[in-house]
Amino acid sequence: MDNIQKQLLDAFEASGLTYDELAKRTNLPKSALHRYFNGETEKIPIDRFQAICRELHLDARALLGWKEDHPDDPLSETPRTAEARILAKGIDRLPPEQREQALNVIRAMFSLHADYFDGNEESTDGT
Amino acid sequence: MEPNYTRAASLALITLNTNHITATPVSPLPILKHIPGVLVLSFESVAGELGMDRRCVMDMFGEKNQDAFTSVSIADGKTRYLVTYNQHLPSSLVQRALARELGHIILGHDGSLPEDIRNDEARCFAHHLLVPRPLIHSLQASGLRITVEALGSITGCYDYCLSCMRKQPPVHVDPVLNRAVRDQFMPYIHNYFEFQRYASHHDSSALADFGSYMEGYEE
Repeated sequence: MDNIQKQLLDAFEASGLTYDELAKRTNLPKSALHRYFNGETEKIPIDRFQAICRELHLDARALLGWKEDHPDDPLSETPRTAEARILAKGIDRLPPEQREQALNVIRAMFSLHADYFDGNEESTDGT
Repeated sequence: MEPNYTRAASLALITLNTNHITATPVSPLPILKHIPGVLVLSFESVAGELGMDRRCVMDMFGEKNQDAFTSVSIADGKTRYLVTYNQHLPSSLVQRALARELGHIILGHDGSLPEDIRNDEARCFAHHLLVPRPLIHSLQASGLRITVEALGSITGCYDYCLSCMRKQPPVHVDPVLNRAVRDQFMPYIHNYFEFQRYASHHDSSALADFGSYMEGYEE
């Protein structure tokens, strides 16, 4: 079990919530929560991770090691300096919750690959 | 506001020209990968990196975007593009989807244009990239009867893509650009006709061989 999962488990136990209650609050299957807390699932989907942290009053960014002022922080609740848009067919007609979820995925991908983009642009400038 | 088809078609030919494309089928993936500030990832990679299920990620973006879509990030005056595509599709579908996404990027779409207009422009770009009209004109001028089968075999595009191509509005591309693209395809056209001449001697026997091969086949 890694450090993040241990912290999740500690916070869950400290919360006094049952698996049933947390499953209801996060809208996640109880079995998934079991897997996340006992370390059986190594990678917790980012949207689910965010939902669990919210209910357990944990700072998702701090848990993931994001700096407070990280400009592309995909979990940030505050406006970002980077603006992400999806040029996909019918994206504006998706339910707002689904659209926001999709945008969060895209923001996370831009953040995860920030180094690639930086390097990619730098090397091109030099040619 | 109307789509600018002439600009889209012209930029498709410029892309062919500047990327020194001399043969078909045109493959948009290497072109995309060489553009600074562009990252191309499969749905599978995105899902893997976020620890999500591939199907969940695909569904999240809606049923109309199961082949590919592009996202833009604008920060500090820099525009970055992420192209997400479905690699588990027939290559002709992947090719067309990526050509369309390449269109969005080359045309500088950033979400400010209405969806219909940017999609029409990107589609127009894709068709002119995959089925370059200067190439088709040269083949016609060389005596090739342009059928759907012939075009499909030359360009790697499937029937639907070609029928969409026929519906594209007429565009007036700079003749100099047309000539430049035609010239870069000339050795390819020459080789194609050489091959056709050679293949025509073997066609009937090849078909006969194929027929006998299938006779011995049982499921």
